[in-house]
Amino acid sequence: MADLRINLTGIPSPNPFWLASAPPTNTGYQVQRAFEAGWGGAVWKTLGDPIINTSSRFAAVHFNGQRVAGFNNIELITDRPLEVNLKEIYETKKRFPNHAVVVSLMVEPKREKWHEIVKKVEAVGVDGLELNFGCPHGMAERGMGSASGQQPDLVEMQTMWAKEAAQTPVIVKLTPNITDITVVARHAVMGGADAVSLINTINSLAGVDIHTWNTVPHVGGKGAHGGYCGPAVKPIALSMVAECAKDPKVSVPISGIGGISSWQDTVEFMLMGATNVQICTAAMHHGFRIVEEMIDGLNNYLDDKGIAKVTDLIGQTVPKYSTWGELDLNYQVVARINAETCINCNKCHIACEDTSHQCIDRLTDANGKAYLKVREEDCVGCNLCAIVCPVDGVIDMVEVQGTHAPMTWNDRQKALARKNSESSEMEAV
Amino acid sequence: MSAYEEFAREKRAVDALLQDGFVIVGTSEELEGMELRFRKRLAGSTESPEPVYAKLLLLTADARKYVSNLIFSEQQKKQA
Repeated sequence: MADLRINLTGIPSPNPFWLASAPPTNTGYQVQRAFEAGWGGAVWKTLGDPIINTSSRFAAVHFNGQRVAGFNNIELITDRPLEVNLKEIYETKKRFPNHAVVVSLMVEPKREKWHEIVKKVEAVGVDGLELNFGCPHGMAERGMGSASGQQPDLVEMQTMWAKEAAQTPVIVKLTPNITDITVVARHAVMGGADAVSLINTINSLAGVDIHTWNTVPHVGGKGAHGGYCGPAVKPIALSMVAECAKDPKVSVPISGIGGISSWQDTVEFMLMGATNVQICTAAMHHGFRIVEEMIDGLNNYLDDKGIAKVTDLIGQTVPKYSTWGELDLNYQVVARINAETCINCNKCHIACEDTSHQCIDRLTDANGKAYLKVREEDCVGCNLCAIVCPVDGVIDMVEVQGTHAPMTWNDRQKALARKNSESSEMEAV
Repeated sequence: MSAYEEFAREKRAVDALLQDGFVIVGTSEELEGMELRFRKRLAGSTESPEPVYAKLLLLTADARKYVSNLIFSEQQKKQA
């Protein structure tokens, strides 16, 4: 059994699986049940001036038979009074002293408002605070959530105000609804953030009902944009985590959020620099007990790899994540089709012929049997055929040894510039 | 024509000039492709003491990469 304990900027947790601030962490009843199921921590649903929600709040995007590929919500922060939440937070922490209880906060961008709520929340014994600068709907119209999070100066200032009053670690939750998330992350760090968490939800409209012409979801015939999450957003979240992890100015731990649905997703986020993960949609889809499978899977993975502690995963892939200009132009892979297992469905041929580089030939052997063959000299190694192939293992992307040493685009540009410069000097002489 | 054959044709043109004693002295990249400028100095020749110039326009990505590799590796060797 590997050691699954993590410590996010001074907040210890028995495992890296935390529930994200969202409907699953609305009450003490829910969070305590989650801890009983095995979750290592929870970020309490955002506290602030209690709001009033609409009816009809969630929508999902199902794709080709997969339920909840993406999830959209227009629910806002807590609709319960602060004192009610604080009482339940206190009781929860008392009952589960070794679990991480972090509380999400959102107030107007005023110094005294931040001081007030930080002091009140910390007084009940929380392990940390998460500043919600991410929610894209509803609260943003009132100048909070992502409306704050899209303004780096405002993030920095509010983080500073929270830190002035805080005794526990302050995590700043970032919005992905911005061009470059590292800018806001850096400002959070300048404001004194002890960690950043990302991503919050992405602006979205789940759909339009083509029969009623209503939005999905709609509230009495009217809709508004919501926040998108679930498996569909994982690649976006992973990329943003990676960007922050490799930025030396974002020099604080990262809590990864966004479409994490399995122990494998968790490993990916940790390899890419996250100290732990926060999960919501998977729990909403499958219930709290999904964490059992995640814990078992992570344990087995670490044991199989001979890794004693889960924290040894953190950031291992970050050095491998660079810029396009640093990729080797001479690295070459080509597709190889296994004629023994190929079912001749022709999908690779169609994909290559119609939308890629026209290098898969449909041929007939001496016995009149059709088969597919890649002209390797024309294959650019785009992977499309392997992606569309419906049978695992039929198409392998095989590395071919080239005759040239590695050369990146940046190497190339420097070499050409140098060559042209030498030539100019010669001509000048 | 296959992409490889297009590349091979351009590579042959580059190699032919190099084998003929030309050296690459400059490149420029435009919307039309990569223009390569070659020069051959006929040292010892009484008929043509002045350098001889040649140009090639490379269209394929692989040929442009091939030439880049030649220039890059030549510079790497000089540095070594």
